[in-house]
Amino acid sequence: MKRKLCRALSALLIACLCLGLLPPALADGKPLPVDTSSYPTTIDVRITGTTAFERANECYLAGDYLNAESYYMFALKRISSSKRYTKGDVCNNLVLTYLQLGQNDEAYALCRYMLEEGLAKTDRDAYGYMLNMLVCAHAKGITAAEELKYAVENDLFSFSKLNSLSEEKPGMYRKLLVAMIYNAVYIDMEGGAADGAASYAFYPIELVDGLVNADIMEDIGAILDEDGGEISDAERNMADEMMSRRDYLEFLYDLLNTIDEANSEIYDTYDPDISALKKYLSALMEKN
Amino acid sequence: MPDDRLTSADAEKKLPKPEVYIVRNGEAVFKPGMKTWFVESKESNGADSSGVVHGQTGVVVGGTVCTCDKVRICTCEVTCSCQKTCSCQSTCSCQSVGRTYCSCDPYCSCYPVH
Repeated sequence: MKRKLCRALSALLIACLCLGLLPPALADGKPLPVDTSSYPTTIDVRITGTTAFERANECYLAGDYLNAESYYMFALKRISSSKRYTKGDVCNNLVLTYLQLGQNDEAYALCRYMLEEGLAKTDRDAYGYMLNMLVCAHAKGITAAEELKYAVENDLFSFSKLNSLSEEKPGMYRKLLVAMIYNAVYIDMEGGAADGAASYAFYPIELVDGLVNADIMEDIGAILDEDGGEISDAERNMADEMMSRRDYLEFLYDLLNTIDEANSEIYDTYDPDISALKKYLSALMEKN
Repeated sequence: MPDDRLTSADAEKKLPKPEVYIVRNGEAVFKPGMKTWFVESKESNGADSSGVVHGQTGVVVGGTVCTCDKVRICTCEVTCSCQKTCSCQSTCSCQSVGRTYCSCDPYCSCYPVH
């Protein structure tokens, strides 16, 4: 019964969480919250923007975040000279660089800017930005529930779009969807789920109840839950009880299990990050 | 103008990456990081793109979760205390104040500091 409930809950809560992301319309062009004049003089100013972006990525992947930051700044300054990357591409990686440098305020502000100013050229990019937005929020101590609430209230999400994209092109969108769930689980785990003080990202997200209709939830249920059944009032009530108890960690574990099973059906392999997080959650549960 | 930016080596010293783990049955279980979206350099043929989801084997970003301990006293003042790695802001609005009873709506928020 409990297992069935977990699966049903997974379907419901995933549906509630994964309210896709719509690239917002280009707004009135707020200034970029980045001072691109601050790159160091050691950069050869004759290099092209493309070269700067490529070097920045090399530095980033090598863990040289200060130089990565400088090259990304320079690439932003030369944005018009390249057709091989966009302002959004550079800003996205600059956000990650800020996070690695512990400049969480800058990361958060820039990521928010990217979403609100519609820098994403594709839906996939937009979902990627939202994935990073959750990381930025977490780095600032903001819960996934709060961040998602903001996105919903500001029309930055559209679950129905994510749902249909994920069905049409699972190879392109399912990993992002799963990654968003992973991050939300992670944030709840760190938010004190073990102490009964979690933010319960998967629970208050029902604040969007009115936005997620039953048909969509059923669709997600069909994808992730072989029963594909509707969520009954009784099951919702049981969910309430479950969430209020301390077995939230167990719930997170089951949720990860569910999405990993679904993941493996598509990619024919299990996600090593999910396996690692499950292992960690399992150890946490034993510890408690 | 002199370049007084920190070098990478300095940054490493300034930002140590602690390994977080718990021990279960004598085995160290490491805490994985969050997943991020990273845009890789496009191929020279301009092939379409390139965003990839990185997990713990790629880019690991750790966050600090800050929690506040709120202490409410009857004058409707709220005292917030945070972990050492966090700074704190607090505000309090009172809905009613009486001699023996007050109702506050305290709000504390903590942010990681570096």
